[in-house]
Amino acid sequence: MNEVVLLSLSGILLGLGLYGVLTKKNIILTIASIEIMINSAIFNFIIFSSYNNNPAGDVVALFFIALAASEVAVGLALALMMFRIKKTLNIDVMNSLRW
Amino acid sequence: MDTLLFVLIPVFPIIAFLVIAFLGNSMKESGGYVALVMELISFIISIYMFVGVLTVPSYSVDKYMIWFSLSHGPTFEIGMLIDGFTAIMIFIVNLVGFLVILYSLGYMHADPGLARYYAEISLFIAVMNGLVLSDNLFELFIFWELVGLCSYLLIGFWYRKPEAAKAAKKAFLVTRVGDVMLLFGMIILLYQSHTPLALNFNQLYSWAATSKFSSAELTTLTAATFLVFGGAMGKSAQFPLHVWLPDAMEGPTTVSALIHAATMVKAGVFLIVRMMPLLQYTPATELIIAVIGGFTAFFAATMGLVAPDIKRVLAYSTISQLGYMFLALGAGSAGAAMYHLMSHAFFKALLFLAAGSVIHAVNTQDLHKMGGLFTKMKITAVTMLIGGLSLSGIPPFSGFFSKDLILDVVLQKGLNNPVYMVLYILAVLTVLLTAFYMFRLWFLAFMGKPRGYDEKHVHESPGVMVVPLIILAIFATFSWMFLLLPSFSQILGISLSLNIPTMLIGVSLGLVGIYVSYMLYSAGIPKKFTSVVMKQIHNILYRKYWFDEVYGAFSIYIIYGFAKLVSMFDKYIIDGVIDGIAAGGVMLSSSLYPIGKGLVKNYVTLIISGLIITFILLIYVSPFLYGGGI
Repeated sequence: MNEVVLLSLSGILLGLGLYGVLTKKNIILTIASIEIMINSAIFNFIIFSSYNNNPAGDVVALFFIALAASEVAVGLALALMMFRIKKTLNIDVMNSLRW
Repeated sequence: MDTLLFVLIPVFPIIAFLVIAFLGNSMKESGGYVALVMELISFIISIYMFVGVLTVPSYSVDKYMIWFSLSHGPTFEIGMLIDGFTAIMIFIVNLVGFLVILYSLGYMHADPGLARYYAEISLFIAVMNGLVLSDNLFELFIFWELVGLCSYLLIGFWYRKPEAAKAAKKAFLVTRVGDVMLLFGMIILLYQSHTPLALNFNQLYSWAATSKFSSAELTTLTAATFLVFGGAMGKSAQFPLHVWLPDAMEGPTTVSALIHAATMVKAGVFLIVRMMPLLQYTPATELIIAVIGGFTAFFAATMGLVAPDIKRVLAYSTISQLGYMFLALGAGSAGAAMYHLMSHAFFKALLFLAAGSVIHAVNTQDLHKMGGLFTKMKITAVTMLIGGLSLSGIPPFSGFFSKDLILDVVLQKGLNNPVYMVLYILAVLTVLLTAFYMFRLWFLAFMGKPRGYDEKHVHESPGVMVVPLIILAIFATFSWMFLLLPSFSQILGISLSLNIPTMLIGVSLGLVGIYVSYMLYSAGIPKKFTSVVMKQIHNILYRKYWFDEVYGAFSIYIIYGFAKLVSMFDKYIIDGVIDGIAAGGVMLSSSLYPIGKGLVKNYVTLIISGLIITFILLIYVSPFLYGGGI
C-alpha cells in the first residue's frame, strides 16, 4: 500500500512537470518543469530500489541527480544565449529550425 | 620463315597511330611521313611473307597464345594464321595502304585535320592487318568492329559537312545490322562446334570434316553460316545492305580508295573465304551467297549507269564487283574470288586515286561539270583508262583474267544447276553494263569540251600523287602474271586456263559497252531521253530504286515507332511507378507539414499523446491480439 502512495506522488510530480512544460512560455520555467519530471523519474528509481531491496536503484538515482544538474547548466546556458540573440525568453519565438 | 616477325605487321602502323595521335598537332605535315615510313616497314615485312609463302605454297602455321579459358568451356586465344590467303591479302592491304598514304601527302596537303587523318588511317591499316592475320572468328570479330569504327571516323572526316556526318552514321548503322548477324552466327558456331580452342579456324575445319552431321545439325550449321554471311553482306555492301557504300563517298577520296574499294569492303569476302571449308557442307547457304552476289553485281551496275558523281559511279562499281566475288564464292571457288579480289583491289584503288586526282584538279565531283581533261592531265587520264579497261575485262589487263575465271566457274556450275545458269547470264550482262558505265565516266571526264570549271588552274597532280597511280596501273595491267607462278595458282587452286567461248562472250560484251558509251558520251552530255519509258527507267535508276526512301520510312515509322512505344512504356509505366511512390511520400509529408509549426509545446504534446496511445494499445489492445500482456 505504501508503494502505491509513493508511486502516486511520483505520478503527480510527472503530471505537474508536464503541465508546466505545456503551459509555460518562459524558457526558464520550462526548464524547471523538465527538472520536476526528471525528479519524478528519480523518485521512481528510489521507490523500486527500496521495494526490491536492491541498492542499484539508489546508485542510479545519485547518478541522475548529477545528470540533471549538468542538464540544467546546459539549459540555462541555452536560455542565456537565446536572450542575447532574440532579446526575449519566450519559447514560442524559437521556431527557426523548422524546415 | 620466322613467323613471329609477322606480329610486327600490325604493330608498326599502331606505333604510327599512337605517335601521330599524341604528337600530331605539333607535327603537322610531317605526321604523314611518320605514317608513310611505318607503313613502308610493314609493307616490306608483308612482301617477305608473300615471297616466303610463294616459295612454300602449302605453308600454313597457326601461332597463338591463350587469352582466357572457361572452366567448363572452350579456351579463347589470340593468334595468327598464316597461309596463302593471309599472305595474298596482307600483301594487297599493305601495298595499297602504302600507296594511298604516299598519295595522301599530295591530296590531303594543308587540310586542317591532317593529324587526325594520318592517325586514323594508320589505325585502320593496323586493324585491317590484324583482321587478316586473325586465326579465330572471335579475334576476327574484334578487328572487324575496329575497321568498322575506322571506316566511320574516316567517312565522317569532314564532319562539319552535314552530308559527311550523315553518311558516317548511315554506314555505321547499316553495317551494324550485318555485324549483329555475324555475332549471332558466331554464337551458334561456338555452341555447336565445341572445339577446344574457341572458333579457331583450323579446328573448325577439322571439326566439320570429321563429324557426321544429322539433318537437324546441318540446319543449325546452315543458319550459322548464313548469319556469318550476313556479316559479310553488311561489310561488303551486298544487297540489301548496299545503301551505305555510295554515301560513304563523302569521305576523302583516299579513304574511298583504301577502305571502300581495296581493303575493308573485301573483309566480307575474306571472311567467307575463311569459312569456305564449312560452307561446302551447307549448299543452301552457298546458293544464297551466289544469288545475292550475282543479283548485287547486276543491280549495283544498273545504278552506276546514271550516277552523276564520279566517285559514286565507282562506288556502285565496287558493290557490283564485290557481287562478282560473292558469286564466285557461292559457286564454290575461293580461289577465283580471291584472285578477283586481288586484281580488283589494284584497279579499283587506281580508279579511285585517279578520280581523286581529277577532283583535286577541278574541285568538283560532278561529271557534268568536267570534260576535256585529257590534254591537261595525260598521266591521270591514261592510268584511269588502264583501270577502266581492266575493270571492263578487256585483255590483256588483269581484270580480264579474274573476271573470266569467275564467269568460267559459274558457267561450270550452271551446266548442272539452272539457278547458276541464270546467275551466269546476269553476270555476263553485268560485263556489258560495267564497260558502259566505266567508259561513260571516262568519256565524260576526259573527252569532249570543258563544261564549267576553272580551266586556267587545271594541271597534272604533283609527283607524290602520280607515282602511286603509275605503280597501281602497272599492277592493274600485269598482276595476272602472278598466275604464271605455279605456287600462286596452287595456293588459290586455279590456273590460267582460257575458256575460249566465255572469254569471247565477255570481251565482246565489254567492247560493245565501250562502243555504246563512246557513241553517247565522247562528244559531251547527250540530249535528254524523249521516250516516256526511258525517262521512267532513268528516274528509277537515278533515285536508286528508292532504297533510301524505303529504308528511311521503315526506320522512321516502324523502328522509331516501336522505339517510341518502348519509351512510352518506360516513361509512363516504369517511371510512373517509381515517381508515384516518390509523389506519395511527398503528398504524405506535405499533408503533415502544417502540423509541425516549430513550437516546442506542439512537439511535446504530440510526443506525449503518442506515448499515451502506445501505452493504451499495449495494455488494453495487445492482450486481445496476442493473448499476453506487457
